[in-house]
Amino acid sequence: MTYLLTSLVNGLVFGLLLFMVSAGLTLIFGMMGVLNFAHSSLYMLGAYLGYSIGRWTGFWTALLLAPLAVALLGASIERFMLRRVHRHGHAQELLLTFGLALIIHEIVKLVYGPYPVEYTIPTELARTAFNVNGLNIPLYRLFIGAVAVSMFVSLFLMMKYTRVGLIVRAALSQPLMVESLGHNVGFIFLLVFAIGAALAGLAGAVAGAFYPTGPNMAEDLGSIVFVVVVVGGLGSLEGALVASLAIGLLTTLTVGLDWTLAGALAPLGLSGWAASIGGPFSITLSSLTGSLPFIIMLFVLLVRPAGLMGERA
Amino acid sequence: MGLTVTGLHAHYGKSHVLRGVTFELPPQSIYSLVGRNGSGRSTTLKSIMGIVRPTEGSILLDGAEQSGRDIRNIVRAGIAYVPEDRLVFPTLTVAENLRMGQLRPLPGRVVWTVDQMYEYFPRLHERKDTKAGKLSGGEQQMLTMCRSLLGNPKFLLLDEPTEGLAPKIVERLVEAILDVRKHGVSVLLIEQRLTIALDISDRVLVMGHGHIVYNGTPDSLRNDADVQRNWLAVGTSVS
Amino acid sequence: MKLYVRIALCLATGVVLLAPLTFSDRYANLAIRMLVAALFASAFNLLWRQARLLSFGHGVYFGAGMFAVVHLMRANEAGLNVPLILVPLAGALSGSIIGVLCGFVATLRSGAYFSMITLAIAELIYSLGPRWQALFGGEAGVSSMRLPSMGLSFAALNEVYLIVLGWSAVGFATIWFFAKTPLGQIAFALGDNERRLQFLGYRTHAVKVYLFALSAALSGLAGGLLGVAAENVDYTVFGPASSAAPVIQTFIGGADVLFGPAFGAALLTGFGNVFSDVTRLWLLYQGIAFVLVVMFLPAGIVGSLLMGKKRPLREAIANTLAVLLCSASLIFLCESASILLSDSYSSLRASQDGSWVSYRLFNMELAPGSPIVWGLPLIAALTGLIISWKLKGREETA
Repeated sequence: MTYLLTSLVNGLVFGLLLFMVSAGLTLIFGMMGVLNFAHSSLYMLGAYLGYSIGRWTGFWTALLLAPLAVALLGASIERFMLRRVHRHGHAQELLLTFGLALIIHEIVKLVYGPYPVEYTIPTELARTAFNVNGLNIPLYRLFIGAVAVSMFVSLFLMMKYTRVGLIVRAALSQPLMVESLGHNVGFIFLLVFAIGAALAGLAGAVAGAFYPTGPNMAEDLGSIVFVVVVVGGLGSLEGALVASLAIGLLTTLTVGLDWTLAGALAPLGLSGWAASIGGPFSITLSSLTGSLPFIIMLFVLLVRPAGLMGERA
Repeated sequence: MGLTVTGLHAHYGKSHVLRGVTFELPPQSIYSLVGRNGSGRSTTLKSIMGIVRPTEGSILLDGAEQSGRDIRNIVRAGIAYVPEDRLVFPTLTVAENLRMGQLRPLPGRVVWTVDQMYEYFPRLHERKDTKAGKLSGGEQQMLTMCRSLLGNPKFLLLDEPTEGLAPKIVERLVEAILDVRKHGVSVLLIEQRLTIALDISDRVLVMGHGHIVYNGTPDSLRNDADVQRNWLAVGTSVS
Repeated sequence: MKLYVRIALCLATGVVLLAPLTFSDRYANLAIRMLVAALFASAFNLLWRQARLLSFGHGVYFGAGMFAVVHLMRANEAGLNVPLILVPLAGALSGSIIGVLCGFVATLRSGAYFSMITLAIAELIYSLGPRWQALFGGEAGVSSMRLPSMGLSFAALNEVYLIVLGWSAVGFATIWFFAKTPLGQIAFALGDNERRLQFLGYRTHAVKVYLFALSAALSGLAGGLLGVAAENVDYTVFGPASSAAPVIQTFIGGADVLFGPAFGAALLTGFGNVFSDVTRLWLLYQGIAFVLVVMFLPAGIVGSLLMGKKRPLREAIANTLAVLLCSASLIFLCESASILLSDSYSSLRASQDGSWVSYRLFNMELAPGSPIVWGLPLIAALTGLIISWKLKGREETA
């Protein structure tokens, strides 16, 4: 019971974090058709900038400035790099962001070294929020969750009720028609890219204080974020939220389960035979936690390529 | 005054689609652009809008050059465009689609309101909270025309608005087009059905091989069997 | 081309390719790695050049080949008697089997979805790697020994190079020949317009699976050759770095030219080997080069050389000068940053009361406080940028 509760909280928080990073990615992909490999690198930069700025200004100011800096970087990437290669097609854009991810990874290693930095949570949040059955839930986990939820709500309201949100939603399906109605689609692309980058940066600045801030954090999260975007459906914020939570919960809940394929064959009386073969039959579900998202993604891509809530494939 | 197109050329890759299109569309008039498929009618509209970049020629809107400008600036200068394939925003509701068309009213323009649109097409009002992707073809056509009108254009370019629609709906659309003209907006219309074009237009422009090959009133075109035979329908004549 | 130029070229190529037979282990190893990378990148590019499919998970098939070969060599140790010269075929075989399976799934989709499926497959295998002890050998990996075969000891790498050269030649010939076969031609058409092929009655999915399997088989062959040379392998071969390498090398070399990927791979492997002894920033420079090529030379190096328009000698020289100026100052700044930000420098500073003590770079004693140290490279970079900007302006007015 206690195990279930911790897993639930951890899974929810991790899922919300995933959502913060994938929200921007799914919007950018849905609207511009660009699969941004560098998106999780922006998340990592958010964490490192939060750490660096925080040493001068304190945690809270850094939490504001780091995402802004990342947004500025995202905007420059769109304006000066992506727009340049746009006429060569989506593959070229994808390669560009792929290269950028490599560069950012190396620059972070150059500046901060190969090991994680000591980015820690501020003392006022370094407490236990509450205690259930002798189990402590750290306040900071709830803080991460709260940031993600308020972000989702404001993003949702912006998309639903503002004019910019309306134009963004329209541009997700018919960018050229939006331009033909007199709107500046180029600017909307820039804006979406900047907002997506800011969200990733914010996620990094918040999460980096809790999880380790190291040069591999982009790589570790990057492919899972792709999974979220595909499973949720490209361009769909609601889909991204559902997929993030599902994958967050799934990965934390399966950590403690030592089911095996051999065990599953027990009702057929084959478990002894399967266990003797070993290999894939004796791998426990818990050790598959890292692989699970990719299995889900393959399944979704093959069965329902538009994703859970996608409008089109 | 008006929309003056002079010597317009355009290419798709290596094929030379427009070869010097020239005509003048005065204010408050309806002109039809007719001709066989591939004669360059759609490309003419797209070139005026800047969707296809003209390689040569000039497009003057009340004396101001539009050629080479960005699409959105041409729209804001007062030319609206409804493409052939009725590009509604499928995930947005009808009301939201209409809001997408609204631009800040500029001085000297005929200003349209959403309510006026609902008056033209009460059907749209009934379905205002429906996702546009769920509308029928006719409803989508009404929606795209209204959406473009809400940008308060001086000139409205319509690419085959009546294509594939039931006669009742075509009638409704034609009434609306005539009323729009009454309010002071000029309409340039690509029309496949010659009868409609001849009925509502002030002048008919016939296109062939990337030129305007005939420019005259509906009456004179009715009597010009040569033009009809050479550039228009295959074996059918207009009574 | 005149006949004697051709003969001279062929001779030169022959000499270059055979020279490693006389090399010591260090350089024979480098030559092997260059050839293997060249074959791998060319195999990867079969999918892109022909069918416009961009795979981000080709490390899987390369790794499959490596594991198959190392396991086969272990079996040889245990008494199985497969001649060493045939061992790399096991790599091709396992690559093609895995390739058919994964390719069948991945090619159900195209575009960015295809890329993501290949990426997901690679991540899946990579995450499973450490769990399957018997097959992948856990963290330590699997090792084996080359046994003497056919009168050669194969103890020294230059003997192994002979095998690598032979099989690479077979691999390249296959790629070259495949483009001429009817299937290869259909695959080309696939990249242009898949729908049209479907209307013509071709089963495009089957074509893509064949193509994928061929690409995976040759990747497996390349992996197998490396397996014979390296004699051990662990699961990190499935990691993102192995899948990224052919992508980077291919597009730097020139993806739409038959031997562009091979050139890019050989070039970067060679440079990487030389420079990673000198600098720890090699990967950064490689990444920057990749982004610059994607942005400014979309046809890649070989592609631009072959297809680029001829420009006057003066402009070519000016362009080279601009590139040299910019890259020199970039390298200087990055290397300086790397030293100044290092732990050893900060402890040195701490021992000197926090003053900015001088550092050594390229045999020079440099003072971080001096304006010349920073001003000169900046001026050089600016000059380079202005030159290239002027050149571009001239191009546009022309």
